[in-house]
Amino acid sequence: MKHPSLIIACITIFSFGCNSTSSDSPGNETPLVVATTSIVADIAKNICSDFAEVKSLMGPGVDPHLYKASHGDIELLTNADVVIYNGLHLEGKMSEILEKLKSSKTVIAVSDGVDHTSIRTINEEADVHDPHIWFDVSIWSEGVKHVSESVQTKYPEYKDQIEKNTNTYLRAIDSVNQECTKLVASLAVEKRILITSHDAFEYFGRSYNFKVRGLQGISTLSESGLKDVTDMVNFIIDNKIKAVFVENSVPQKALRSVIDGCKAKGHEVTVGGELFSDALGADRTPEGTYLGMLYFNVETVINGLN
Amino acid sequence: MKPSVETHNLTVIYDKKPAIWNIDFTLPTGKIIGIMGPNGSGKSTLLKAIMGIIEPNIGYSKVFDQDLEDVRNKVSYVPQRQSVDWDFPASVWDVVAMGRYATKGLFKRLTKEDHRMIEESLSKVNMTPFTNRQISQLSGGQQQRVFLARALAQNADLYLMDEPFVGVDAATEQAIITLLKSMRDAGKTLLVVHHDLLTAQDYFEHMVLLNSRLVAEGPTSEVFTKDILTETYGGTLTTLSKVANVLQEKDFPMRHK
Amino acid sequence: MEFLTEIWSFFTFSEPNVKVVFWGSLILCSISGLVGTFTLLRKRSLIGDVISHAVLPGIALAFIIGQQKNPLYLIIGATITGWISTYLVDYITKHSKIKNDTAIALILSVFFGVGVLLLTHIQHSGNASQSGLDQFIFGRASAMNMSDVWLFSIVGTIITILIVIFFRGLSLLSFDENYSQSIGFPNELLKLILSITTVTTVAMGVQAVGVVLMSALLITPAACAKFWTNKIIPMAILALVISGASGVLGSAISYTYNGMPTGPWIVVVVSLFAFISAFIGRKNGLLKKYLQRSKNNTKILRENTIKLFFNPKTLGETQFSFEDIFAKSKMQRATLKKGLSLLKSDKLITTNQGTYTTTSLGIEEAKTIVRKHRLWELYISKFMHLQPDHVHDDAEGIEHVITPEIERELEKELDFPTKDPHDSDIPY
Repeated sequence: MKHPSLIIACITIFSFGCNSTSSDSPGNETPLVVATTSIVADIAKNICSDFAEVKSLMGPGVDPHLYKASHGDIELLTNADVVIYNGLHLEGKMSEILEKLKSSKTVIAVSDGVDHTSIRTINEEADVHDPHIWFDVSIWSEGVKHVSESVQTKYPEYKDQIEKNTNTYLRAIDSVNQECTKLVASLAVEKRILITSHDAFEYFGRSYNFKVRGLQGISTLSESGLKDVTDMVNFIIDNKIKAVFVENSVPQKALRSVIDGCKAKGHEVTVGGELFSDALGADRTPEGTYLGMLYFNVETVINGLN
Repeated sequence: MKPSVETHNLTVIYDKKPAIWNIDFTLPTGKIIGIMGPNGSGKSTLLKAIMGIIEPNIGYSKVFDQDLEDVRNKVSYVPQRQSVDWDFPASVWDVVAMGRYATKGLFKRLTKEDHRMIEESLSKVNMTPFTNRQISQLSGGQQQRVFLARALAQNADLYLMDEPFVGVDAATEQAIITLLKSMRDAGKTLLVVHHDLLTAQDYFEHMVLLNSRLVAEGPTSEVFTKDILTETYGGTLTTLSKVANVLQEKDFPMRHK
Repeated sequence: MEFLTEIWSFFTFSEPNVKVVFWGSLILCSISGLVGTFTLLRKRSLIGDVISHAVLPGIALAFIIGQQKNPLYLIIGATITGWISTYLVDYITKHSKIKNDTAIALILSVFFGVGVLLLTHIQHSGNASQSGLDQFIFGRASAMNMSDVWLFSIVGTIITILIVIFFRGLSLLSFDENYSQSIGFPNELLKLILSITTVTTVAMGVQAVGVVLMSALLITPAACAKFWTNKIIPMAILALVISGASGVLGSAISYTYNGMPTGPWIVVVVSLFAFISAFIGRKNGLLKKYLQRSKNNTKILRENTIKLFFNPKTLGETQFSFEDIFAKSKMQRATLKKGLSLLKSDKLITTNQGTYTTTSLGIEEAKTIVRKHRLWELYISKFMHLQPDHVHDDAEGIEHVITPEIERELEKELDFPTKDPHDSDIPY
């Protein structure tokens, strides 16, 4: 070791040099938009993808209630120019990170654009609200507008493009909603009872006039107890429900034990299908988009209960 | 005359250092033989190696001129009293009954004859009034007598005892040595690890003096001399321990294949 | 009231799901208590904790490789990593300078950490509807189904049969491993049986109570049983019964309200059993010790009080007012009052307008206690070679301990003496 101090100095400089990730020159690089869930990412893709790179933290089938950000996720968030998330504690285990990011970059919550009175409150004092707002197309559209406006503020140079994309998106949402409403009309009102693994579909129920019941609460973190299972069994039997629905991002075991319980009591109930609740389907499938997911869910439910 | 125990180059290595080294002796039958040496000289290790509880790294031992496996039913082991947790849920009778498992094995039920032997062993050590007492409620001397009774119940010819007089009251010690002497008179061989030099001459007719290596072995009158005792208790051989340290530090094997 | 109706409906199997959970927890927990008995007796309770945490990576790996949540595959995966962890702890302890408790802490954290890592990976991969492996950390007893119960029954039966068959060898191994080896018992086989049954029990049990709480279910029932019996067979049976009962009771309680997790309730119940046993258990229970001490104190007070009424001259009836007897004694007022009321209820004295008089029973009692005192003084002055002025305090304490048999022995040994070391008469 001839000149230890010189070597140490070289190593230090070298490692500093290699650390240049996010310190970019402004304006020249493509903006990076990072969304948390695939549903939120769908908004970003539709609005920003002609001028920005859009990345989603959570892929298809990932449960946002339980999701813990990995080291790679944090790196991605740190490099992002814009971060979009659902809000209302859907991304329950990421709230600290999202708070921290607010001080240094543009962080947009879709739920901030929604009128507070439209949001379903579970517990006023504890500030607990139902975060599954994407299932109510009208309030989700408000959220989309809010995201659009915030992005326009950040990137005024792209204002016109963003507005145009947003309007196209909103129109498409509206037209899918109308299709869904037509489909729903084919199911008799008394048959409109939707049973799922967790309480993700209240807004859906509100929009399309369904009675909705989940085995677990609004977050998959809470465990369903034995009583919840037996109560659900009796509810299904009392209301002569013929199908229940599992979800793509939630374990099926609990709901299947409900089905077994009904069978043991002489009532046949089947799995009407797998719904997309907190996450979209695989990329490049119709259910991999928000619109496709909405329609698929409604179609599956109507077919299952008819 | 068949020897009771024979060892050849018996070596046991702990943590790369030899605990006993090249132990070589042939012991007679029908005698009470004492194994003595300073703390850490490998006395317990020697017993365990003969008993097959520890595998020797080098060398071997024979019992009654045969492998231990073939004569197991003739050998009985009395471990150190503190090697066991006496808080275990068992009665005096339960522990002594273990002595019959040696012949009965894992599954065979105990017969009337077995019960008789257990009772007889208990009475030989004067523990009959305590038959149903929990072992946690026994004094040190009583515990030692229970261990002894267990060994007696095996009805063996050779008894290996590890420090049977430690922590035992004077009356019990007297009783035990009297019992051992009567066993010897009945033709049994007793190998006893002992710690008290003052009683050694009185108890043992034959001795093995150990300090990781064999210092001396023979009739008590011959080996219980000042020189030999000094060599046994007067500290380790410095060169030998230096070699042992090198073995440990540099991780050398003791023998080559 | 609703609580009780729900408990009632639980035990009457009014719901099929309840029946499934009842049997599932009964079987799982019972086996756990039985196997845990040996874990406790062999002083390997911490190893139980290691295994509980080490099953997690096995479960996760089984899922990643098999891509489906078949309970059998998961149990196999759990058993494999659980077993590897125990092997590693023993290996590290034996072949390195690392002590046993350090090795335990090391392996436990490493395996658990890897498990969480794999779980997070699975979570990120979006197969949530098929995995639900997160539930293994805290258990999900409420979602048990019949095929789970069948699996538990079969495996549980095998485990029980193994333990019963090899009970003798397992007990000896737990008590005295060296002796067991010396009589040629197949110790390695026995240890293998124990470790496989323990690991498999844990692998199954974590589905009900989860990884974090499993070691409690393994150890607590056996620890509880130890307060009630000093024999190994009753201990094992009791541990099985206690843990099975906890499984059922815990499930019942979790049924009374919505949203209550079953696993933690099972552990709460078994822990409650343990606390209560520590207090009132027949063997080494605190309550028993307290009661015995209380009994002793009452006897001592009674005897010390009647002693005050002893008449050295006539050896007959005596009479005192409260103040007189108080002056004579060294007691506190309240204590003396208590002693006097004890004597009264035992009919050793009568009271009449503030005066206390000894009955014939009381006279005898006083004579006895003084006799014991003086005999003891004589005994220790003779055999311990104590001076006369050093024997009194000892006798003050020991006089209450001397039973009639000991008294007779003293008399014999001292050759029926008439005088004590202070030259006072010994009253017969």
